[in-house]
Amino acid sequence: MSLLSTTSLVKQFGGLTAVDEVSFEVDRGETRAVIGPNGAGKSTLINCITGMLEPTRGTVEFDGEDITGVEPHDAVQRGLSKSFQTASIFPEMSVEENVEIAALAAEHGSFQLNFLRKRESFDEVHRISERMLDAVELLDQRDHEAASLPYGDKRRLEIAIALASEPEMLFMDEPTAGMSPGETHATVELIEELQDDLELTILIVEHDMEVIFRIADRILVLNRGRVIADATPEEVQGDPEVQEAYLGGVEL
Amino acid sequence: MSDDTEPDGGPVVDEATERVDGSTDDLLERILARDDLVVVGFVLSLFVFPYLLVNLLTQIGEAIGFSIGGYVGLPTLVLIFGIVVIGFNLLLGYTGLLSFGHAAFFGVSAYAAGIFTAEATAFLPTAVAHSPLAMVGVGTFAALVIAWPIGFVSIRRSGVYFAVLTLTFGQMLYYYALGPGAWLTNGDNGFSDVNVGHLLGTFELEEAILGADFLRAYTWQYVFVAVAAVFALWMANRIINSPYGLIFKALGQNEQRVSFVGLDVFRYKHMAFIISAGFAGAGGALFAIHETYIHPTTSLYWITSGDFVIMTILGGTGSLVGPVLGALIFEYVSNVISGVSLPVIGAIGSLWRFVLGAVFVVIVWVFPKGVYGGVRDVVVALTGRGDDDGGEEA
Amino acid sequence: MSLLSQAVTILLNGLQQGAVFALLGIGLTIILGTMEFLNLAHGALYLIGAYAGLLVFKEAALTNGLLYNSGIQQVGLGAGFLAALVLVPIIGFVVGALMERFVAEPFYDRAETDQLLVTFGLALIIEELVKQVIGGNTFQSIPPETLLGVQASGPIGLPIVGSFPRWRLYIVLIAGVVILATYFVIERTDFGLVVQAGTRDSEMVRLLGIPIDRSYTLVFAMGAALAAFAGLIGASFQTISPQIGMERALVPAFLTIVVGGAGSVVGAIAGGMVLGVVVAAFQQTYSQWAFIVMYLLVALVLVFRPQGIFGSVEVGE
Repeated sequence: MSLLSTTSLVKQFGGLTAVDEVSFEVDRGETRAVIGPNGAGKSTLINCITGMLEPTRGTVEFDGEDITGVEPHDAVQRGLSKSFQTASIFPEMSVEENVEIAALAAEHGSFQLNFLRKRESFDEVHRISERMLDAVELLDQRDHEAASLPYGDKRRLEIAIALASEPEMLFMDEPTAGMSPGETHATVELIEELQDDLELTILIVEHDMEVIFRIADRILVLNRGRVIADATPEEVQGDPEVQEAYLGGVEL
Repeated sequence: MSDDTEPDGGPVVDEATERVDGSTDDLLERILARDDLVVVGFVLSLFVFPYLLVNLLTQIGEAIGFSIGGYVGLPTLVLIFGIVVIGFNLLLGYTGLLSFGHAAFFGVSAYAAGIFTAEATAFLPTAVAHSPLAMVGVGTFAALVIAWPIGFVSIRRSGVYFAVLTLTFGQMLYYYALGPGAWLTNGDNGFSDVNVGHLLGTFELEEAILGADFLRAYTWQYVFVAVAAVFALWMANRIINSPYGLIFKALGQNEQRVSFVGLDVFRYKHMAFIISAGFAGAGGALFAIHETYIHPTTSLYWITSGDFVIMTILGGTGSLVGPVLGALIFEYVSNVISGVSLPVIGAIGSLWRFVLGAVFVVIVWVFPKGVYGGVRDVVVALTGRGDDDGGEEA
Repeated sequence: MSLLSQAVTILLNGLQQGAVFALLGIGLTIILGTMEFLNLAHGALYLIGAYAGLLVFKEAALTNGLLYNSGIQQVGLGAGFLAALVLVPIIGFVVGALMERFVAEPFYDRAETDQLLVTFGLALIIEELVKQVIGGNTFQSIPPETLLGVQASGPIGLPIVGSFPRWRLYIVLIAGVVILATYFVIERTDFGLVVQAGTRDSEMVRLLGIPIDRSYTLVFAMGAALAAFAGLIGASFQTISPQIGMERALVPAFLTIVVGGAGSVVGAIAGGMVLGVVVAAFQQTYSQWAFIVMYLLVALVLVFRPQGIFGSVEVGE
């Protein structure tokens, strides 16, 4: 039973078709990678699913419900969470507050009239924040200002924020971009742990093929907005059309 | 600054960077950081504020030959604007939304409160219709009612377009009150039919609570406004320490992320706008009580909105009470210092606005945290946040 | 007065006011577009233009202010309106260049709110400076008697409307020429090309290796010169006081580019004309509602057509 599916999803910017009739399914518990040369439409595809962009045509279904064109906060409330390509954090808040706000949203919905309730009284929110900070090994730095963290830690914090939303499915946009080999290694381990511990379904966009082949169950390959392969890593590796797309003059 | 503090074992490294010992540092920092204590400190300072501003400064002024003392109503006026900018800061300082239209809420509330006292006697007992409490209630309510649609529309745009939209709505109300709305507001002649009754049916607001001369600035009106100011600060403090506080701060730093943790950005910004308008409304009604006269230019005109911006920035957006300090500086300078006559230069007169503008620019440029934040930084720096920092510098 | 002549009078008055709005709007929009810098001191440049015009053109009799207090009762060159037409834009240009170097430049990388605040502060300072030095009183408008030897004052007979103030007609012509010239500079010169590209995508222009930063001072100064020129034109038919920068220039300038569409010179021209005609129409019929309608129009545009009536780029999203 698939958790997420898109049907003939299209996104056009003026005359340019960035996502072209993309239909694919992601099964519950699966780690799915999306790869493709630069400009293949990977980020646009994710943005169309998570609500940042409204698709021109086609539908997105999540957990049996049509979520085409919903607002980002609505998508998150339904269980779709996203970690950004750049460390999208709240720089002037503490590490703990960064995660707390996501936990708060998960516990209390997208809007509540509770502006006179003390924050300290939300035990569940604290419990979740602690657990997520622990998962990304930032619990010791909880009182630090987020801006003061090294880059790798900021990315981990970003992932913790995404996790604190208690998602069923996590979208990761190039989680190892700009990381040192050591940081990359730690992040891959983190993703594998998350998958096991939290039974997350993960959709990951990544350039690092080593990372992809290590963690992905299946790979969706895009080129110029179209799906050119949707198969296991082994099958994708042997696919002539994929090789053509990568080697055929388009830079990796 | 800390000449009389004993070094207490900690070696004094340099006369210029003299510091107190570590334990006092921590205490000081904790006090400055604790919001609840700031509220308590605010309450305490309200007990001495009128005496210092009116009596003491007058005496000092007489001694040095300048009239630098405040007049009796000044402490009240400062607190009225203090209430407004506490709320304005929730929007500007936390959520990062710069409104150039808050005079709309201030002015509408003032008019609503004033008109209420004039008209409500028709269907309410005079004691209620002229009650200061009812005026504040009616005014604040009116402000909230118009803030809902104005916010709903303005929040859809960001940055300068948000500022222009809020300004636009404010100016529409201003020109309406000045011209076509004259049947309601008495237009350019101003609305003078403000009938302020006794507080709780007992206390005449203009009277001092006691006869003694050193208490002459302690009028019932001051007591009323001071209680309102404390309530406003307490309320703001609660809001900042509620989930809203966290979300408002987050909105100011990374709006997109807020939406991607599953929060409805639009509705929270809208709430921030309405809440902040409520504070402006409370201030506006109190202003009507204080002045017993309302004119479009002193209440609805966009310069008034600009004054709120100046006060808030002057005092500092980084803290809850900072803007109140800004209101104090602004009102003191504009009402008292502007009347001072200097030996060489002559009357300061309207020069104060020039100085204020210059100070404002310097603050935006160098002290983004405002006077309060700047003072706090200086205190922390002088007392040495950590021995390490101070040691290295020395 | 027949309906037709009333309509034409409204149109002429609207074009005259609209020309001032358009001059302001063009200046603001090229600065906003190229540098993504929000200049709340734009009205102060108009103010400078108006006072510079007064002092170049006339000898103004002072009644208060610093100069008056130090014994100077008359100030100004009395050099004529033509001299003002030449000198005022130059003054605006220089002030604008200085403003860019010393105030705007340090704030390019700071938050939008900081840009608004610092230029707001600067606007207050300039307004107060003028008030302190020259005095807070209101001066009469300064229409010239003659210009280039041509009679410029008095009424002129026009078809349909009949008698119309000659100078008001000339304002439309003079402003029209300057607006057209600006339009051609931006459409037809290399400098204009950079400005155009910059207003569309300044990041891209930089990536293409065009030294856009060097053009910043020039763009800013040009915008300032236009604002100052608008101030001179405004002063030739409206009273002059320290408040006019904020009241008659800053707010209308922003409204103009909102209506016309941000970053578009044609939009600023069209937006200015639309606002001018709307205000003129209501001033002639329901004068109390003129400004309310003007603001309402802006609010409606912002809400329902945020790219402006003539623009294509959505703003403030």
